[in-house]
Amino acid sequence: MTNDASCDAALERRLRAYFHDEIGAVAAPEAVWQRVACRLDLAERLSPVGYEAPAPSLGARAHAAPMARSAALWPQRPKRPPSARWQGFAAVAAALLLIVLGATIFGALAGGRPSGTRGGDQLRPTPQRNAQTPLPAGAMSFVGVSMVSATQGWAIGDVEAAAGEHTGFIERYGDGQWSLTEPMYPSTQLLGVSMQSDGTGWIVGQSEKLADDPQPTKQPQQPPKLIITGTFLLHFAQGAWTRQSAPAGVEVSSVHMISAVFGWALAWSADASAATTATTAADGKNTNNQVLVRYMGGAWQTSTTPTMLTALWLSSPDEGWATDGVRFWHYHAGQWTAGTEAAGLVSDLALTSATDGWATGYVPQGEPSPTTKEVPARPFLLHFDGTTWAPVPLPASLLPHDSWAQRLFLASAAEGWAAGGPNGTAPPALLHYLDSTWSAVPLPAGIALSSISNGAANDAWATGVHYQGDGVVDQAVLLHYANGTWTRAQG
Amino acid sequence: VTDCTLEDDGMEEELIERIRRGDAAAFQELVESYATLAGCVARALVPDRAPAEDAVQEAWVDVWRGLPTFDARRPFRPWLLALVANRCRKAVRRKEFQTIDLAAADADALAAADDLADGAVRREANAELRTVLLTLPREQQQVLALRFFADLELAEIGLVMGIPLGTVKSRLHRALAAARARLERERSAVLGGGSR
Repeated sequence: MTNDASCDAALERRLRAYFHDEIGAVAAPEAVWQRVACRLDLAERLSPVGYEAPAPSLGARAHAAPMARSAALWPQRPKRPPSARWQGFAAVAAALLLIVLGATIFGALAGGRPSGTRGGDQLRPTPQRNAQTPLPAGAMSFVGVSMVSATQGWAIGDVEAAAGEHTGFIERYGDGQWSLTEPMYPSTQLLGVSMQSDGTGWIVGQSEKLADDPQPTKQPQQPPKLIITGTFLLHFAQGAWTRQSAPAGVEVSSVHMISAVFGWALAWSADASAATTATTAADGKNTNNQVLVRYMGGAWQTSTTPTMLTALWLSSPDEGWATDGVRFWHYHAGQWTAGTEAAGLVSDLALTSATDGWATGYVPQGEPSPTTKEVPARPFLLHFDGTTWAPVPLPASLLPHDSWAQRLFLASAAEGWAAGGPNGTAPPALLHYLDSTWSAVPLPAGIALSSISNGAANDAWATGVHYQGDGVVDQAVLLHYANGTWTRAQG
Repeated sequence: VTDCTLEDDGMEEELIERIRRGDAAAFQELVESYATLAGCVARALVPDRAPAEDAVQEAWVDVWRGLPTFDARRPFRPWLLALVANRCRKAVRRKEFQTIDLAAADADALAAADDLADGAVRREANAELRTVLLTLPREQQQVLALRFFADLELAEIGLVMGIPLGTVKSRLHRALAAARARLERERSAVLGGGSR
């Protein structure tokens, strides 16, 4: 018996040594947190969770987490009321994050945006032209723009009332000016727009209502809680918008059309919502409730994703690439294949064909600043040639150290944009790809862009915000790029 | 390596409550406290490093999404283990279409082992043990790894593997007995061969 026990003990020691040697050390906790913060940042953008407070800034202490980066790169809107500000840096970063969630999602996901996260009743609505019915009072935001030509285009946005509810609106560009169209969409946030040159297009939106019991006792200063009651699609054809239900069982959060007959979106399985994910996970069920939705043959078809994707681009129904923020994934004929892991954190990717595309991101470097908690980072751009994602040398003059282009907006293989937000006192990064060269393009002072769409070569429109020196957003803006210069056209 | 349960249950509950209030530092503290445990469990369940690390990260996203509805009076560790195990099962199922080259990651692990002063002896011993363990059923290998690499309690192994405690005990016993017997056989064969 004693002999058996000593044998067991010896074997156990040997097994411990064996596993230690064979498996090796697992990732350091700090590294795990970096990656988790990255994924959570992106997850929150895709499907915000109903915490009592606004989504915490996971990057407040996240060494090099994109959330922390993005939080610092985009300006802050005034909160309602001022006492709603959280304590400490986490609060500030969280508020910043909530702004960037609305803005940054565009590039990756063509317009998806979390709900109920913006304060800002101090914002001035943009003056409207040709509007028969004025927009309601509140904080106005442009969510996205999609041009079909240099003279025709669409923009969507919403106005957030003091009570927290949103009214979605659509503007149309024609005859050289933007006009508010009717109807407006009360209790609605429009999340994404994608139009085609043949005059067709799609908008995705979500209906909402205020929670009956916003739990005022615990956090009375918190904004009212919005409940998303469903998502829907608006289809534009033959000169009119037609409301359609989202594909059965899913909540669509974005839309991107490649042609009139093919497009795609990321969505969430409606019957495995965030509120029930934990329970089902503990029961051992699948918790990745993200869904790929493809528009083919006049119908939306759903399929699973291999992991929680944060940026996706399908160049055809059977070909595309995606990233989960850490690794590239290749989609081919219904199958997902894990590709290489990026040398840094990928924030966005886009393709112009099956053999041409770009990705952007950054590599964290060094320790976070003791004052700002920001982590030094080296931005990167990767070019995809049909086989590999290869880094492209970036002169510091284009994207200075610590600056970073978060989102990509490619017009063609010959032209595209890479945009980021402001970083401290530095202006937002904005790169223009033209004639096989990336170059920095200045923006009007205090402007940060959230989406860009080319109507023609060297002619683009963008949505964005004007922010003050302290980073507080005071106005939603539309801008026009022509003759090498961005100018404010509205706001 | 997995002594990472927060010592005071009340502290853990408070930590979770702070997370719910939006305290990012609290969530970072939670992740970093349990990162090693989650990593070890994942490596015990998923043979390859990259998908194991993916599974851990995805499990933390599940934690994040589940915390609003998680009953903070319940212990956090078993819930985390269940989420990690769930993600690992999915990773293993997904593995059939994984094409990532893991050679570099494996080389790192081997290089680390090489640094040991007694590297040569350890490598030889490990090679012998590897040969033996590879003859065991996958479930027994996992039980051994969860017990002696992730340092899980038997009940936790049951939770992770989705089997009753009694099955864990018998499976662990059989695994150890089989490993011991085969090691002895190997040794006998070596000694026998040497005497000829």
